[in-house]
Parts: sequence; structure tokens; C-alpha cells
Amino acid sequence: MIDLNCVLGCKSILNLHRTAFLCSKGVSPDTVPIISRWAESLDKSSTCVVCGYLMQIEQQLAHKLMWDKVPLLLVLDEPLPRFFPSVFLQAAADGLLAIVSTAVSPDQSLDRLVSARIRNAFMIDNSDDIVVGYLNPNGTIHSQLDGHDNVTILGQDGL
Amino acid sequence: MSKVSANSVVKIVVAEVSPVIRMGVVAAIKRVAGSSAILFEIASPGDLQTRIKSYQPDVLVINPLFAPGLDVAQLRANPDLDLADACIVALLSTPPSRLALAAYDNWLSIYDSENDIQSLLDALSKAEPAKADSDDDDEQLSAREKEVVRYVVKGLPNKEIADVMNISLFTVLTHRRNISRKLKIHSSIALAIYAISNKIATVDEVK
Repeated sequence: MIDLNCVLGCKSILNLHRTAFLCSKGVSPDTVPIISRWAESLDKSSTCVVCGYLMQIEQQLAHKLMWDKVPLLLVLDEPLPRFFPSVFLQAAADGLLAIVSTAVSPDQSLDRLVSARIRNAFMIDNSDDIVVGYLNPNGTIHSQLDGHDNVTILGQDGL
Repeated sequence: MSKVSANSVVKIVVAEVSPVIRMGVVAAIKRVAGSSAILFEIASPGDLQTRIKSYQPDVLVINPLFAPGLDVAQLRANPDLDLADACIVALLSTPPSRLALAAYDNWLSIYDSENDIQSLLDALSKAEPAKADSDDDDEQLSAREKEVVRYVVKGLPNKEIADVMNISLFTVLTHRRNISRKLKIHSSIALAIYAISNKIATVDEVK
């Protein structure tokens, strides 16, 4: 259950159907258009995408979703940055953006892998279904999704 | 300060290379402020940033010539230093130039008398009784706090916010501390997103 006190921005979008987007490292260029088409197929009136902002593909997706006015819950695995691109401000003004950080504390820097696992777990636990851009069978996300049956995998090929 | 800020202790950092001036200023402020202020000194420009990070001052009294190329606006905007809520006072040994002091909240001359120092501290602290650390569990911002948020995200320095709202600098600082505590927001961009998404400010107003 998301602690609303920790959510910045438009909290009402959390009442929408929440779809998490996860992606293993090493996504192939062939998979990117598939992810893009998936994003374009979303029903923006009923879906909130839960997405990270660490990998390039996550950042590209987040910007596309904000551009397309799709509600977005951004999950950061580090304290809130001091600066965001202005597109974030517009998305907030449009009531389409919420941000939450899963960083344990502002001063604590965890191992990158540990903080990513914490963030992924938060996204998995707080979403109605999960879409995976690319799933590395030997990666962290694969093990974290074990036992979940609400998962859709978009791309099978890695680099 | 002792007259007005009975419920809070103010951390004042004095940054000045000259030990005579620095210690003199610290001693003068101590005499005036008494136990309502804790004073720290920064003697070396090389220590400026690490000491500021360590002390987290409410008030930074700094000689504009303390370090070559000292840019107070940049100092205030540096996210690592967490000075956004602090009041920065220029410590002057020459007559002030209004232009050069635009980025400061106030100024203090080494020739100031104790009465002058008292006046400065009073100006900083004479307060409508802002609730320093409210026990109120309601984390909603008050109307006044929302007003402060709006001015902060518009980029107004604390001094200007105090002028516009007709309150003291310390009241502004207290409001800002309460806002940070209530919202658990410690960065200006997060505050901007809060303000925009809660219709306290528009995108165009955010600086």
C-alpha cells in the first residue's frame, strides 16, 4: 500500500489502474519501438503507468508518457533530484504526475543493485499489472517477478 | 533576538578571514543575542562549503570579499549546502553598494554599534509568533504557509518574501521550516511540483 504522505504531485492518479513498467538492462534497439507502441496503446483515461527514471529506456518512456498526457507515477530509487526538466512541471500542472522515492533516507546511499531491487519491489507490489520491456532471464527483475501471473513481456531479445 | 525568539535557538555562522574582525563580530553578536543564538566561525575560504554543510546555519554572516569570486546567489542555490532557507547577511568593512548586495538578505558593518546589531537581529527576528515546531498533526499548510510557498517557487529571496508579506525574516524562515517539515520536502523543485500540482502556483510562475 502506497503511503500517500510520501507521494509528491497528483495523488488522485493512484486511484487509476496501475501498470508497472519494468525493463532489464540490455534492451535491444528492436524492442524500443515495441515499447513505444505499447505506450501509445494505453488508455490514458483509466491507466496510470508506474515507471522508474534510471535507465535511458525508462527516461524515454516517462517523457513520452508525459508528452502524451498519460498519468504517470514516477518511482525513484534515490532521493528526489534537485532539478527536473520543465516537462515535469507541466505534467504536474496537468494533474498527471506523481513522484515517489523509495530511497531509505536522503543521506543513505545504497548499492545500486540493492536500491534497484527495493524500487522494483515497490513497483511490483503497488501495481495491478506489470509490463516488462525486456526480461533478462538471468537478471534481477526475472527473479523478482517469480510467482507473479500478471506480467506481460513485450520484447524477448536482449543485446 | 532574545526579545523575540524565545522558542528557538538560531544558528549563526560568521565567515570572515580576519580573525580580529571575525572574533569581534562573533563576540558582539553573542553579547546582543545571548543564549538565543549559537555562533560558529569560518576562517578559511577553503572551508566555506564543508563548514556550511556541517553547521547548516539559519543565518550566514559573510564578508562579500571572503573568497575570490564569491557568488552568494550561487551559494544559496547550491543544493549541497541547503542554504535555501537561510538568511545571508553581508559583513561589510566598507560602505555598501546596493547593487553588490542585491543577493543578500541584509548587511552588517564592522562599524555598527551594539544598537545597530540589535536592530539587525530584531529586524531578522521581530516576529509575529510563528509556530516554530507545532505539535499539530494536521500536515495541511496554512494559508500563510501556502503564500510563502507561492513566493518561494516564484524565486523570491527570503528578504523579499518578508517585505511582501509584511513579516520578519525569521517568520519567513520559520514558515519555510514548517513547510519542509509538513511536506517532507527539502528541495526547491519538489516544492515547485507540490505547488503546481496543488494549484498554489502556475507553471509560468515557477522560476
